[in-house]
Amino acid sequence: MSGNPLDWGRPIRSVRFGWGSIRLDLRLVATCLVAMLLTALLLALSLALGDYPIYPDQLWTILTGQGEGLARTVVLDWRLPRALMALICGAGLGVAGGIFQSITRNPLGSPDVIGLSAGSYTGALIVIILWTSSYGAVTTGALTGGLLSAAAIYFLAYRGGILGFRLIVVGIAISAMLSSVNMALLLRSDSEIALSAAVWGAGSLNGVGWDHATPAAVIICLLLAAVAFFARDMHGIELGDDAAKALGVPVERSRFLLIGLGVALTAAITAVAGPIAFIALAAPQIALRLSKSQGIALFPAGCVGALLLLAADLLSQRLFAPRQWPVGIMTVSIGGLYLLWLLMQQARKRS
Amino acid sequence: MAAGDILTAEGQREAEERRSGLTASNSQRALGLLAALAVLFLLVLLSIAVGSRPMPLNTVIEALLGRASGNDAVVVLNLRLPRTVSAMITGLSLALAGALIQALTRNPLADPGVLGVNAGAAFAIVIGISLFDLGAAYQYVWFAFPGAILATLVVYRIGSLGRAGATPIQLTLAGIALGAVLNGLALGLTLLDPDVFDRMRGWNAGSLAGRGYEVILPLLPIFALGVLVAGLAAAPLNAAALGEDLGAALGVNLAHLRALVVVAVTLLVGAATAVAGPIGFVGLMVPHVARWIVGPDQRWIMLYCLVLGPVLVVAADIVGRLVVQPAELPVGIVTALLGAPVLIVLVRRRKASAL
Amino acid sequence: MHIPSLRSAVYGLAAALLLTGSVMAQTRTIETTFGPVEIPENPQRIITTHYIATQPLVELGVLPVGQGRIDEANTPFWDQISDIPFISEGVEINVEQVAALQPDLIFSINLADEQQLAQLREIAPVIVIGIRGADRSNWQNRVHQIADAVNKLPEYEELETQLAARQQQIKTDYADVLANENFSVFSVWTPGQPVVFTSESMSGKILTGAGAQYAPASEALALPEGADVNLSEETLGDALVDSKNVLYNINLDGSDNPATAEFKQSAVYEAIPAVAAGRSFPIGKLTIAGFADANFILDNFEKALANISGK
Repeated sequence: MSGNPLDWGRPIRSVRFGWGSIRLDLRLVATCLVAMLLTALLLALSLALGDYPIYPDQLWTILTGQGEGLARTVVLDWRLPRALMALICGAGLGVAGGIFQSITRNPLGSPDVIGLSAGSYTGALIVIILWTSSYGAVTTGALTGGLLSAAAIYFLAYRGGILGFRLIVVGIAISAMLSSVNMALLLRSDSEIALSAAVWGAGSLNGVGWDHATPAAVIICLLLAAVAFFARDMHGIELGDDAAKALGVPVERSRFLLIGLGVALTAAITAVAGPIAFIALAAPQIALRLSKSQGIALFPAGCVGALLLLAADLLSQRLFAPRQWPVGIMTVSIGGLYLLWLLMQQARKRS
Repeated sequence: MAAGDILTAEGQREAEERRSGLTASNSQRALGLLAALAVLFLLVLLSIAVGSRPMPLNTVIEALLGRASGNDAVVVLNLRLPRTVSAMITGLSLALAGALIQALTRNPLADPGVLGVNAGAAFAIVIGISLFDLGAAYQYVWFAFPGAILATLVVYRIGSLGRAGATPIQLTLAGIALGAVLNGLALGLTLLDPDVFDRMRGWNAGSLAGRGYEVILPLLPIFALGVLVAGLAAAPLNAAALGEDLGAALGVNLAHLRALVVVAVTLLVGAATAVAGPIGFVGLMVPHVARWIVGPDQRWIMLYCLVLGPVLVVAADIVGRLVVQPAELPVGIVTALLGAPVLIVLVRRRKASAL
Repeated sequence: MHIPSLRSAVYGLAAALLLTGSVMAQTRTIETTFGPVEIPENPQRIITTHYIATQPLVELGVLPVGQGRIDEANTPFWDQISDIPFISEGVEINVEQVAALQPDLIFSINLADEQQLAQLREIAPVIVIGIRGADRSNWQNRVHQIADAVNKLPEYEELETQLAARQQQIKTDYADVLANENFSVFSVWTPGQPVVFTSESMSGKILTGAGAQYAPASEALALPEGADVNLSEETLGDALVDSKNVLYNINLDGSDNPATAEFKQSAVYEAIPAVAAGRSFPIGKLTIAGFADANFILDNFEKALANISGK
């Protein structure tokens, strides 16, 4: 294998195709591959484990299409859509977080910090408390709340352009306001409603079936495809507005589009599963540290996000079995612990 | 990726905007401070005069003079007076802590909670409620405060690993990480038991109701100590803001300064949260307003925080007592509703109040 | 090889089994608050997802095979139910665990996640109990529906008759006291946030049935807002100002809730006229799951009345 004549200081190889070559950052690729492999493993585990006993041979029969009865329902109608949803939502959150952190140039600039989750939660709470817990209504409420708050944040932060700092501050302000409203709504309602709303607010994939997973998955995948298309511009923007303009990146338009995609991703995921905290914040940072890339890389962020959420969902079901915890609590705990561990590792290396 | 990076055009613009505040001279700043004090005084009077129970003004005065009895006296002397005192103390603590943390981490988005203090307190309280059947305000204090301290210690320990020591970004990330873990665990525990959930949601809103003198008096020495340590850190923070090399040249020991700030923030926020529960937004917003008025001098910022913090919390408490009569809205809910619009207005001004 | 006789024998056997099966699995339709539900004639393996359905079942003499989370301190039936697995922690239901327990009837609440309800319905018929909304105060209706579903209507009638008789007995035994006294009920679960319960609340209906008159001030202040109303420490005094007796919440084992205990040390509490006159009594749990809770209230009410008349 011939190396590059240039030394990038990191393992990079060129792969030649008939119509040109692309430069592959080996460490990045390795990170993604490992993440995807682990994800596949966890997916298999998710199908096999649960409180309803399914034996390995039973599992095989069901997966090859010959199962029947309640066992089949358990694996194909309950476990499978849930695991797939975890995977896709995790990837979406990782990517959305990456977009925001890149655009705002601040590792704290994540959708949950900026207040999209709070807005979705407000919308959902208003529906749950004043009306009904029905899935369709809550989802619509959450979506509306999230999009409205995103629009409010954007317009309030827009002043001849979006300055990253201003976006975050406005986001934090709106988030704090909405959190207050949420808390007020929770306080004033009955204990059981508040508990039910709090579980939604913690982010839960419990009960996700095909009729909810399929449309959500389609939307999220479409959004991810759109992001892949515009991702190039994002790296240009990372260099700074002036440099980006010099490179021919249409800065304002790209920023608007990318933020819009990030918002849409977060809103769609939050509407389905409730606000799942921390994946959007932690996945890009973890991917950054693992692949040692220079800027936020969206593909690894997505891979890490998918792995994180799937692991969190599996743990939330099995760790204290048969007690079930909402997956949002696991993400926050796992994400936080891993970030701490990474920090300690990094610090140790430096000393 | 740190904000305020002077290598970018934006960073340079921010650095320029940084130099001036609304007031241009020390005498103007002193005048402003007096005006703020006057506002605070009026608010204190208002806080004693109004509440969820409408009372005529002369009854209030009678009560203050010790000439009323029954519910009238109880409301004014046992409810409103201690409550106003608590509001002022928590207000100034949170604002001061916010100024410190924003100066230390040089991140204007930092909130004192970034060190994990609130999360530590909340987690300790959940443990207390689940295992020890806690439910009263004076009980919460004895769990929340140690919990806050422990959390900050862990954050500081993790943040200072490595040769560089406790750099702002390390501290922030460690604080956010630990905070997230503790919050997650706390939330998880509350969702497992509806009783625990009920008590936590009452505490979580941040409230000054039911906090009499027996709750705040034991913590007074802690508040005083926190303010003192904060004062000691003011001047060195000014020097440190010039950058690490210049700061060191001016004789500032960064490691000591960081430790000092962390101690002050822990004491102040730990005690405030122990008393009232998590009252958000004060620590984030008040330093911004202060900076907008006086510019980047930390000593002036802290002086203004000492007055503006109480202004926000007392005002929020008053509003909370008026809007949903005969019930009350907890102060923690109102602070964000009041403060957020102000913050948004500030941030939309041409000169962003960055650090 | 084609063996028609064997195959038709198998079909015949299957048909016979199916017939007997359907005879064994006879169902009937029951009217519930949320519409008609087809349930087995004689359900044997019942699962509840919330204590509000568990207590009525136990009172009626039926033990479920799976239940919603309840603490020892909040139920008088702990000895009987402590071994039954918990399949729900309040909101989240472990649907797989429910499936593994093979129930033939499930009681859920109208706050349960719609998706989870759909999954539960794939396991067994589900009856939804109204825990929120207009139905909230009507606890007897809930118990009645549960009794109907598990064929324990006679037991329900008996419990209902006993309660009514008890209420009547209190009315007659303490007629003179009741004629001259009035009451209000409050509780403090969160520091600084007292709640007042009016005659329309769950506990109110039990107490008025036993002859209690509610004091005008608390009724006037609270009733416009609903059956149980949040007040502040400032306004609680006004709500209780003309009550000759005040009743407050207490746990099933007789212990005070910590926030209530703290409140009882405060100046606001001491300033309540009834308290100053020594007329403050514990009354019991203020959310009623079944007859056990109702009887607990009547126990404490009788003690209070005895105390008042003994003076």
